Amino acid sequence: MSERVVECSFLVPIVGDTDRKPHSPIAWRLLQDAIHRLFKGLSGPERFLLVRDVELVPGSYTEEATGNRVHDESRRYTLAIPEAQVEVLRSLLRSAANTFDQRCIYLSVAGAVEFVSAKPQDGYLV
Amino acid sequence: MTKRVYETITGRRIDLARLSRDERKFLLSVRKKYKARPGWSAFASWWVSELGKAGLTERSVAYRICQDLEARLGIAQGKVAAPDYRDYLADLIEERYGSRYRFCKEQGVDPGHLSRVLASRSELSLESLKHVLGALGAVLTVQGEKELREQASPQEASRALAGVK
Repeated sequence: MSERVVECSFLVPIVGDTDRKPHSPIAWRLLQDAIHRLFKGLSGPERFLLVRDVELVPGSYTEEATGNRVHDESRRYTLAIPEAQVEVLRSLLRSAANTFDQRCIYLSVAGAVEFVSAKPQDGYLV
Repeated sequence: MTKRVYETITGRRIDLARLSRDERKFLLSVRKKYKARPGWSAFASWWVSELGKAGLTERSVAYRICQDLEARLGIAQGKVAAPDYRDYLADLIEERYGSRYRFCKEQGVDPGHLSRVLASRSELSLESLKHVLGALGAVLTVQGEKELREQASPQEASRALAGVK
């Protein structure tokens, strides 16, 4: 029986939470390398594993401390991966949240939205 | 004479004369696309998909060149920060040691601290930086911001890509 494949998309804001400055080139490169390393070749046919889409999406959220509406821009990645690999993706996003200085990262798995938050012990992208 | 070396924003030199036929063909299509100065993310989406179609993987030098081209667009479009010493360190470590793990093990560097530094969450003391640079056979230089930005510009990359024949 073939493995169920789910579409996952996640947003990485293009500025850090703390300094509101753009990320360094190395941060984006490490994310791209990690996606390729973790999801390519794991389950065979390439069609399961492509980075299907990368796009900039505008957005906004309310800052808890001040109640102010903050507008930001994020990069959206969309991947089609085997369902069994979703936890691997969550783990990657916890490291990404630390590397990109984000309290949490928006993740949608087959249309169900969740926010992946990170602790310091989740480490960084390598 | 046209330059036959592609130099990344962190100074890594890639010999274009040693490209495989598939890499050359792929990079010629990249050069054409890049000439139109696409958006940072639109280009990212495009090249990743085209790389797969060309049967190339992340082990190909074409992958590193495209990552570099993408970063230059991001910097020029204000979406990505200009490279700082961390970008140079990460590249030198990869080039000379293959992995961060191996570098840390051989040089007695705390991998957790290095990860925090590369993620811009911590800094290296001047003493540690000297130790790390010594291990990499590198020196610290001070460069003007204008010169740095020119070096990291898409125009500079386009000139280097002209060496793909």
